[in-house]
Amino acid sequence: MCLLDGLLVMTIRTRFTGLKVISFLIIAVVSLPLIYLVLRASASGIDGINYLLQPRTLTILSNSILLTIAVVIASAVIGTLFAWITTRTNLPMRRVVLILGLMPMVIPSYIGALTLVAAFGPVGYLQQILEPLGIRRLPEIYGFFGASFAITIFTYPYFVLPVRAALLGMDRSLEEAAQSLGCSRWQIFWRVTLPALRPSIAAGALLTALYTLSDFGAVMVMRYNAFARAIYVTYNSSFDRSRAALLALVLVALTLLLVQLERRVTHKAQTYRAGKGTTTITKKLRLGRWQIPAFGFCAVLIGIGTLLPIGILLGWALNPHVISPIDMKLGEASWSAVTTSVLTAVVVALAALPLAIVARRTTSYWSRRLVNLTYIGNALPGIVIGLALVFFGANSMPALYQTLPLLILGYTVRFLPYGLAATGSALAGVNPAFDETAQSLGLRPWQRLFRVTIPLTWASIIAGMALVFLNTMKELPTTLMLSPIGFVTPATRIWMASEAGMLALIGLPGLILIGLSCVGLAILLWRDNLKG
Amino acid sequence: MRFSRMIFLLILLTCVVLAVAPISAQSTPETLTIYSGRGESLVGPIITLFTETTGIPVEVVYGNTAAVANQILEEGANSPADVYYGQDAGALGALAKADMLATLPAEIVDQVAPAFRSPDGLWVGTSARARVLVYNPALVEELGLELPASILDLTDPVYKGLVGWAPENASFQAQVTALRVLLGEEAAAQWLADMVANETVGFGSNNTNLYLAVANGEIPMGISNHYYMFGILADNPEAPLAHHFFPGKDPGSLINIAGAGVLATSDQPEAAQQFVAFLLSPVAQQYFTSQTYEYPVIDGIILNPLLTPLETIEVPEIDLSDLDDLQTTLTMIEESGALD
Amino acid sequence: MSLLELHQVSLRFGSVKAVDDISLNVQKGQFVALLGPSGCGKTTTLRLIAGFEWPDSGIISIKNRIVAGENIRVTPEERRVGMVFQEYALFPHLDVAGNIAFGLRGADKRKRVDEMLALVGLSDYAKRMPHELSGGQQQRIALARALAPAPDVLLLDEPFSNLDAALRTQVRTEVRSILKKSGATCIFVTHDQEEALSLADEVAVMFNGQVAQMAEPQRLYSHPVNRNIASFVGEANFLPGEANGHSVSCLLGQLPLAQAASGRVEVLIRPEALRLLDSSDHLNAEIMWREFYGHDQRIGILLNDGKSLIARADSSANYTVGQRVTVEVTGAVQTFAKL
Repeated sequence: MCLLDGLLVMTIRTRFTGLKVISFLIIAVVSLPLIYLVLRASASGIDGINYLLQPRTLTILSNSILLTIAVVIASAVIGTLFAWITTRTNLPMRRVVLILGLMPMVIPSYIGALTLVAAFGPVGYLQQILEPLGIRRLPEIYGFFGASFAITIFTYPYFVLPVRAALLGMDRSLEEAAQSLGCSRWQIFWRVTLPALRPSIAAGALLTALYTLSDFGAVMVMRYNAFARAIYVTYNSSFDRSRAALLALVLVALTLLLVQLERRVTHKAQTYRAGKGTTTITKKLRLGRWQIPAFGFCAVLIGIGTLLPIGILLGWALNPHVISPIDMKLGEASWSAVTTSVLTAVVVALAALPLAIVARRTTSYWSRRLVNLTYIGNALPGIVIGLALVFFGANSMPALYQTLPLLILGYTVRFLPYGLAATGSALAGVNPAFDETAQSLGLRPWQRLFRVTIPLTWASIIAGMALVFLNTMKELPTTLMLSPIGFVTPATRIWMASEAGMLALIGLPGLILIGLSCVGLAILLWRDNLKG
Repeated sequence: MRFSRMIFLLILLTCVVLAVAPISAQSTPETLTIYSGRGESLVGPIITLFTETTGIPVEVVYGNTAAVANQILEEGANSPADVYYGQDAGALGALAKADMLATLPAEIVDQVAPAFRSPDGLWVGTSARARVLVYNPALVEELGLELPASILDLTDPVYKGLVGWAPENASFQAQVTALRVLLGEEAAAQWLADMVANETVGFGSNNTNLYLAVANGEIPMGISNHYYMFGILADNPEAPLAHHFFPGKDPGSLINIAGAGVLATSDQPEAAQQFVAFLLSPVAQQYFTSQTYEYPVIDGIILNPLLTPLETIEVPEIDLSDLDDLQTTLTMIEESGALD
Repeated sequence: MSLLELHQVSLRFGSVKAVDDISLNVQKGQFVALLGPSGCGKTTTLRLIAGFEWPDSGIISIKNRIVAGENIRVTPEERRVGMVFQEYALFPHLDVAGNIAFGLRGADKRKRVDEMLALVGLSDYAKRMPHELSGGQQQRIALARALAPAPDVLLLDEPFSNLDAALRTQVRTEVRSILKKSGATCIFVTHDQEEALSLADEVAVMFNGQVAQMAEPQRLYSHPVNRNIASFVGEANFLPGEANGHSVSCLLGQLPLAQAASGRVEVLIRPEALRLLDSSDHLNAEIMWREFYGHDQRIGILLNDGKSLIARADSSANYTVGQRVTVEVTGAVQTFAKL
């Protein structure tokens, strides 16, 4: 506490300088992958530049960009609509619908895509149902459509959460003003509600875009040639780490661009906030004859994104033919995954706090640009983060290599943006006057942190932690490369089974992973309950 | 807020406990560290057996064959690994090229045919796998297809859009290298281009998905490795799958290996060599054929009855160490458009 | 014929009667204030008129068209009722012109926006964003936006509560002149009696969901129908007394009555009706405190028998705390029956 106190005293005396020092240290650590990539890429020289300018590279880059745009738009539409239906209308069983609708977030994209193919592939379950009608084959699901379909289904919850929060906190009088000016329901949604949701939608779009860029599992199953896939091929086939690094650097540039874009949208929206707006909307819209279509929309989403994967996993798990050749140690795996995920969530929350303060409360151009760097870990495929930390871990800190702290560092590098987004938006809503009041009442810096800032942002911090928890639970490449030897999680067990082609063995760890992740989800929603 | 602060302290406490625990549980120097690019369900039992037989404690890092090799390359001189065990000659070749492997004693490598080991004795094959055409008999019959006589015949328009492959997979790339060695660069490139033009269906690096697609009737056939079939049949004994080996020393009937090498930086090379030797022991070889459906690389092993005996497969004459020029192969595959 | 009519309107929230059997008539072009303490149901009444709430019973009609009643539900967007919200609710994503044009349709949009901007005197601000405006300017833009579609009735919810005191009086005058110029029929809600009295043509005082009295400001002040209204509307001193036809006897002597009464009553004496005389005889009170306002002053006095009263005097009179004075009442007084 003494050290923390000292640092924070320094912080205040020097107007954020101390806080900046802490933040820069954190940024330096999470920028390790970037340093690694530059180091590796520089080895390829002119050759590398030529490689990057090949038409093939540009093709896969545009493939990835197209996929990202399609996924972001589709997820935004679906996610916003779903959030609106479950917060604003009198849909029956709203809470159950909401929880089931968020579940796709906890399903690893590889499994998700596999189950989609099993169901909607050319000769999948759907085709079997339609067989009596003489349908021998369904149109190909693979390629651009399949990839965007799969990723959309598993990312739209990233929109539901922030949009729901914004809808719950929205000032009632804005919509009423529009109504009194003669707007119909539909016009109000387009002309007032949607613009007010812009920052939340932008936040969801950023997370979804980063997810899409870094995702490897779904594009592989859906046979779409995206950028992350090219990075994997370069690593796996030619063992050419400098070319892989060059490709990864392109993703880094793309990420920084996206973060900048999101900042612009959010920043604008924030300075816009004019009134104090205290009365929130509690009345639910009566759906009337729209009840069936609304319910159908939610049912289709839940059916495809939640019930289908769970059903297929259940089918696999119940396969009587297969007995595992080794001890699956699923109890131990669950315990390891839960504890490391909780730990990661805590570390991310702690790291995000100073960063969020710097990002929100300073006006320095460079401070904010530097904070943007923390997003790159989220857009890079796991193998890149893994290898970067293997490089630094084995060569610079061998004592930490293959220990839990380094694994958690790897997770933190990867998932810091989730924490940062949550804490950042919460801080934006805290009047600096609270901190000043506490200061005038004689509270020391760390006391203010614990008695004012954290309690005021607590709900959002918890939500961010839950998001980190969910993603850590299902993270695979980082786990495989950085974990202590002998460390297993449900995700590594799923990988082991799929590597060996034993689908039946995917079932149980898959269900356990989903079950445990639901705890994280429960925490997310518990935060909603606090809000009333 | 009291409640939330309590949770916060609780989490912090867990944090401290867990952060301290693993550091104290660091491995002792006598433990042999194996980096395995082969999954635990495949090789876990045989590694356990090694410890039971020799008394040497072992810890294993499991991962994807290429990812684990890359990991060793990044670790460089500080690599904790003593043994690398992977299922692709290319990955072993990449480690050898980076001078990460130590020469194995002659009495170990000499047990294995020259075709299945590194010429410098840096790594040795421990089990063999065959390239094969997997097909769905019912669907092939229904479509009135004939099984091709050679891998080169798959470019025939009758197979248009009906053949699957996994062009990102190391085994496939070895196959293309074999084509280059056997037929020359031009013919190999032409074959790739014709296959792409014939709308061959790509499955990335995932042979399991290819097999599943054949089994459920999405496509009638595909070129892949032989052993995936048995895992799927174990899941579902009714799955309509069969193997077709191209006759006449066809390049399509290439035999590839899974193998192991000892790290040059190993702090216990004897134990490491002991492990590699163990993989070549009759017990281990018998295990491979019985449990992982692979071919043994030493004589005197009873072949798994499910497998087509190696003697009946007309294997092309090629030296596996000729397959280490992966970069040219990869560039050729990229340029053919197979990955797009 | 009234433009707006509420007939026996009631609305409950759970067990609370927010609006309890209210009837109200507003004439065209009239400016009506709903005055009452917080929680008295005045804002709910406004929201009922706007259509954001539905009455449990009763009828609301605008321009002789029933908008809420048994089986009739006209939605807010179809009522042609304008509303200015307490926080103004300017759309943060639109500029001033965009806000004013929000409820407009058709080709003449721009012309109408310019007219409205001119009306509220902010013609140069069309391209500003809401957060770039002062509170008073936001207030006027909210007004312009609500007036732009020429609503039949304009509703204002605590329109001046967000302005600081110095600005409030000025904005009030401006708003009143804008509204009078536009000829709009207005109903506004306030808890500030000064605001209600100074702005409205008629004031409806509400307590506990009911309209206690509706009258012109002057009449409300001089003839409150009960003690509650008397003390809520303006400052009031009450003394017990014994009425006897046209006069009443109380601590301050025998006073003339505005209306005949008899029996034990409470006598209402407005502060400005008290005169403090600096004479030498019959000194019946002592000055306890004094607040100077410039245009006048408030003085706290303690009668000899321990009763304290508040008096107002013009600013020229000079009093010191502790000074003894003679208290007199000017004019006739009103009484309420003792409860």
